[in-house]
Amino acid sequence: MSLLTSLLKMRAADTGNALRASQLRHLHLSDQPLMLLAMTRTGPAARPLAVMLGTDPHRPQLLVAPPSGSTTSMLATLADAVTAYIDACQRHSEHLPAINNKPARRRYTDAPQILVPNPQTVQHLKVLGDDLRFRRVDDQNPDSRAVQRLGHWLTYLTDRADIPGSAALIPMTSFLSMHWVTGQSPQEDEDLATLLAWIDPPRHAASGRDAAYEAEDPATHRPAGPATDAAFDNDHLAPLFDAYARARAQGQDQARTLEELERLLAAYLHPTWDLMWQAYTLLQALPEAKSSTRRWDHERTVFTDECVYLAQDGRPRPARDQAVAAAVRLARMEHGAAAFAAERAADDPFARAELRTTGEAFGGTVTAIDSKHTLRGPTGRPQWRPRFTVSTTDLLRMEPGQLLACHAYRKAGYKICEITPADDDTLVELEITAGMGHADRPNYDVLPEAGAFLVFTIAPDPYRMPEFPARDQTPWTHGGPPADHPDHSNEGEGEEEQ
Amino acid sequence: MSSLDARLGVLRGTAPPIPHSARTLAALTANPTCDRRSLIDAAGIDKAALAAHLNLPQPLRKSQLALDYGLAFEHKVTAQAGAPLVPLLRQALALTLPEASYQDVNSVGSDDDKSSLQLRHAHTRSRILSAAHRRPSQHRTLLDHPVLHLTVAGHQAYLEPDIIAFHRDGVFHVVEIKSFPVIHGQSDPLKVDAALTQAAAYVLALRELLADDGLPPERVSDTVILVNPRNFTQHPTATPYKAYQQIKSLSRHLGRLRRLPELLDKLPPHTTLDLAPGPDGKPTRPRGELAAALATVPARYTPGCRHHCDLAFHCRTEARNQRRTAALGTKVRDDLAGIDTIDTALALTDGQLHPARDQKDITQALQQAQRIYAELQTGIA
Ligand code: SF4
Repeated sequence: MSLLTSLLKMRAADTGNALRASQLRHLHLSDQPLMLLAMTRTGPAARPLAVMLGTDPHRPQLLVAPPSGSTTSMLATLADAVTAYIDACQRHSEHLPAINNKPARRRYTDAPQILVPNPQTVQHLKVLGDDLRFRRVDDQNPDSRAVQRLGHWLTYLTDRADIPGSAALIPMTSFLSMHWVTGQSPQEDEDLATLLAWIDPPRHAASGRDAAYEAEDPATHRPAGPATDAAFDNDHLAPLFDAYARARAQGQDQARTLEELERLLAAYLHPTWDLMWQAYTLLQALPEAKSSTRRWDHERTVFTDECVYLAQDGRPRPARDQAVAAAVRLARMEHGAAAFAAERAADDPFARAELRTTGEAFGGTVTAIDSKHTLRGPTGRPQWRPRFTVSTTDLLRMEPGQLLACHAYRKAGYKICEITPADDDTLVELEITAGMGHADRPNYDVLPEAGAFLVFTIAPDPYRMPEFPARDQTPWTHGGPPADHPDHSNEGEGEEEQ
Repeated sequence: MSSLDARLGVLRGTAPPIPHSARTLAALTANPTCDRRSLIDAAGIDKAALAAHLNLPQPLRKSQLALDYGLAFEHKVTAQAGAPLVPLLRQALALTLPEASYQDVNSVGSDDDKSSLQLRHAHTRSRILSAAHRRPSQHRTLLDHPVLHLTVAGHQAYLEPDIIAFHRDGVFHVVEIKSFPVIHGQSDPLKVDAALTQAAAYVLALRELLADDGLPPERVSDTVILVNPRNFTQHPTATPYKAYQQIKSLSRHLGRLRRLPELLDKLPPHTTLDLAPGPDGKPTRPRGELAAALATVPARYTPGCRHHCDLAFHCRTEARNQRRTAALGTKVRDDLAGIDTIDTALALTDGQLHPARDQKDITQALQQAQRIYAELQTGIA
């Protein structure tokens, strides 16, 4: 968040209406996302209470776990639904020709996209994945394999969600906050109902602020999960759970209680379900940023790789990353964040405006062009290095020598030669350092026109994945060679009654 | 009764004071600069009752399911005279602790109903002191349901840690049983921090007890043991944590409570938050009057208040009505350090207000942000 967002927050609070924080949508949206709401049972770790999911806004599927006893059958149904969705993404593939040192290969034309209400649901699915992928597969029980596979996919998806710019598993509140600024605090923005009320108030509401206030009414507000609220626990769930336990203890039929529980949870989840689709429609209407397509292509590559891995090896990821794996993950996340930021700046004027207020960019008008400027290269041959001057009124926090990128000429590179403060503005002399071709084969396209308004951002560092030692060469001080199999800390404990 | 007590009593009114617990003490560290909260807590005023009377949502309501689950786990850990605990503590403290004597302070006095706090405190005290003074090699003790005293703003608050463990090196350890899980060796850092802050209150109380008997604070370890369910089961696991930071911060915040007389001096005379319960126990205090009384005690609202204070929704409304930047989050508040309200910030941005000397830089930055945004809106940029 920048001072610009702080300013917009104040404007939004002042007027009562949310403001756009982006002119484009920066994440790919699937035509058929899998919407998924998850509720956990208060208390035991990762014990599901209910899941509502589906690709059709009018026909959600509701799965409810019994208050006590095994959840395997509910999880198996969930596994079937999720796996069916993921399998559908593997129906078609495309041929990718060999490039550089990568051989030709096939890639699926689609990849799964799961939309959940908030980051807490992502966290819940991660913990659930940690539990399920180590469950033992019992050949007598076909459900057990499906459940383990679900665990694998949940781990894959929640890992992807850690990478900025990935669109495999997206928390809706973060997705919306990336594109709008509201007049309430970030903590309040974590609540899907009030966030959406600010952004897309119902017609009768006078303002987003009024709508949010109304959406908060405890009588109608339903938290989007995964935790249930205390009032719901105490007033509704606890009595039903007691009734269930009593029926169980007395050997009576529990079906009625379960039906009642299902009705209760359906009513509890439905408002959020509708909000999710409302948010989806809203986001779909935003024009998609150019780089988002590239990132989705990459998403499909990663997904295809995962399918191959599952088919060929399929051992679950260890419970905790070993040193090398953890370092690789961290490097990927950092790279993902830097690449996403740079691509957003290239695509979106709003992102550039934000960088201008933080001093990571400046904008100005081209005042003079020296298109003939040459330098003497190391071999003595002249090199064509056109220069031009930009007049800016932004507060400049850069030094000569700074390398820059420009949204209008994505292949070109720039360097600051000189900074001359004048009365009302600052003159920045820039040299084109890349993308202009050679003196004998010049690419005149990179020359800006005098009078043009351009924004220059700090060029992202060229990225190279650092080299890591091979797995078996990890020093023991870092935890030693990784165990390929999961730890056995869960033996026989997974299905304990709670 | 000290005059401070009397003054706090006036603020509280007719209701009996709510005793402090480790939880309320831990909450003190969450927003220590809020005078409203410091005074209300020091006076032992029931914030939940205030909130209920003001018709506010109750963000801190406890889930019965969570309580039941926590209790079931605690019973499991302390079952069979603490048998499951001994091997866990042995491992967590790297001790040779072949057996330990387990004493449940709950069961002193009569067998049936729970003994009074005072009685349990007396027993706790005598057992701890006798353990501390005996030859170190002789006694290894697990004390279940002990009761300690801590001086809070000149008052004795009763605290009830889960377990106190004493071992041969002559050192006491606070052991807390918490029902949030440790999954593959990791737990939610926020929950751990909250648990350690509570444990810090017990450490301080235990040190106070020993100090009265001339024993040094090092006899109570900075290392606190949390016992949690392991992975996806109800099997307990014990993890040692350094609680040094939490102990330091809590004792600093307790020290701050000495400012109470100063805070009270600032209130108009006879200010009270009394709910004036009628014969049926229902509050009769007019809401507007109560809100006005609250308004005389300065608050320091942040959106995080809803996680630790019953008055969060009241203070939020107040902060919003006063158009405070803090209502938009700590990020906005810190960005605009020195400018308290949205109105001032926007007036400075739009040039309708002349910046004071210390507002020049932020005003310039705001105006630049505004200019860039305007360029964006008109499509220049
Ligand atoms: S809610 Fe109000 S009284 Fe409570 S800590 Fe926050 S500002 Fe202080």
